[in-house]
Amino acid sequence: VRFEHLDGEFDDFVKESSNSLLRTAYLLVGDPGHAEDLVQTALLRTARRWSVAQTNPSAYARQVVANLAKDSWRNRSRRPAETVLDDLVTYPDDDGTHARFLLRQTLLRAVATLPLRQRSVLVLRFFDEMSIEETAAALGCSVGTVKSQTHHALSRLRTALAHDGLDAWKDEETCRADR
Amino acid sequence: VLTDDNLTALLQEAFEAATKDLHAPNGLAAHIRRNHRAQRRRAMLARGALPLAILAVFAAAVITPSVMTSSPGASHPNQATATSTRSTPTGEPAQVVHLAGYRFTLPVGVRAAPSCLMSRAFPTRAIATRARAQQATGFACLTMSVYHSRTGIPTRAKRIRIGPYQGWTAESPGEAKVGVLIPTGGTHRILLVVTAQPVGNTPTLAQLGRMIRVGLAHRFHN
Repeated sequence: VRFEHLDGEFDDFVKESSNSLLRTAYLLVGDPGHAEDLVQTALLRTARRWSVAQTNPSAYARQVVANLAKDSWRNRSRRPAETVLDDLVTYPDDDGTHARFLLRQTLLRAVATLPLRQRSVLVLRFFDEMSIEETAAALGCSVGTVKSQTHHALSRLRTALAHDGLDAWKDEETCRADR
Repeated sequence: VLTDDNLTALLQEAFEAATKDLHAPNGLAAHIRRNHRAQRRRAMLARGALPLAILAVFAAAVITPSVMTSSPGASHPNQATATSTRSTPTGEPAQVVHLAGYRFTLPVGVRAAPSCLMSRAFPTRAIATRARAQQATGFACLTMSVYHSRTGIPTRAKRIRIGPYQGWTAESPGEAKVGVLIPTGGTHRILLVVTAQPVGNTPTLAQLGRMIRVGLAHRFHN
């Protein structure tokens, strides 16, 4: 299939899914620059295999993003760790309470420490709202693995919150109940 | 008790909050199409004309070792077409890259791999660098290693003298992460330029990272 003939379809697909792909990639790799690279490469690969991908391009692209994140993680793990600058920290919105913000930050930090597969499972299932079967297909593993990885990931997050952020969550819930 | 439902709801909220400001640029599809075509062209060239190209490059290297060849004609402005090496006006070795109708001179130490010069759909490309800054006789010396953001291949370290800048003290040396930005997409501005702005009297590590901006902004017109 000549790619030029698919301009319209491909444009629509990119327009619809590029934002969500970028966000998924960001949650997987944790760096906006790397996430952009991942999305660009993923879209290129999707374009190259458009005849295969066009039945469900979104799932195909997501699978590529997950694979690229895995490769990227392997490459980066061989390099010295980089320092995160203060610029990258997001600050609370006007409508967000401070406790809630801290809780979110604690949770995101805990997610960042998870092994890549557990992180991928969480992102695909709870951010992209994919089913267990779809997640398994995207990650190239079995349904049972997705379930167990989800369980382990949530347990680790719960432990992390118990150490750092559960008090904030309880305060938040108490305030909410009082209101 | 933090139930699974509570935790996943909280997780969704955190994911949404962390990503709400991320947006893909307009015209992304056009960039992807352009890169796709360029890659296909390069692949065809590699399959069909590689032996001839090797012969031509070898012949050019033997016949005109010191003359920089002109751009062989990019079929698209975003396609990198040729690289060669020569000296800068100050006599330092440099790498010359033709891209987007411009001629760029990159200092040795900055890798100009073809994949690095691929037309970028996003407005900037952040290449992770680690910089070590130290004060010496009023000048800050920056030893920089540039990594390609996708392959992670480090280049040779480049030592650059910048300054003098007020506010740098003996406490300020340290490692900082800086970003090398290569704006692309029709308005290529590529070459290493180091700028820094003093922040306070004793900049912290993070301030140091913000102070040093290694931009690729020097442009040579054809």
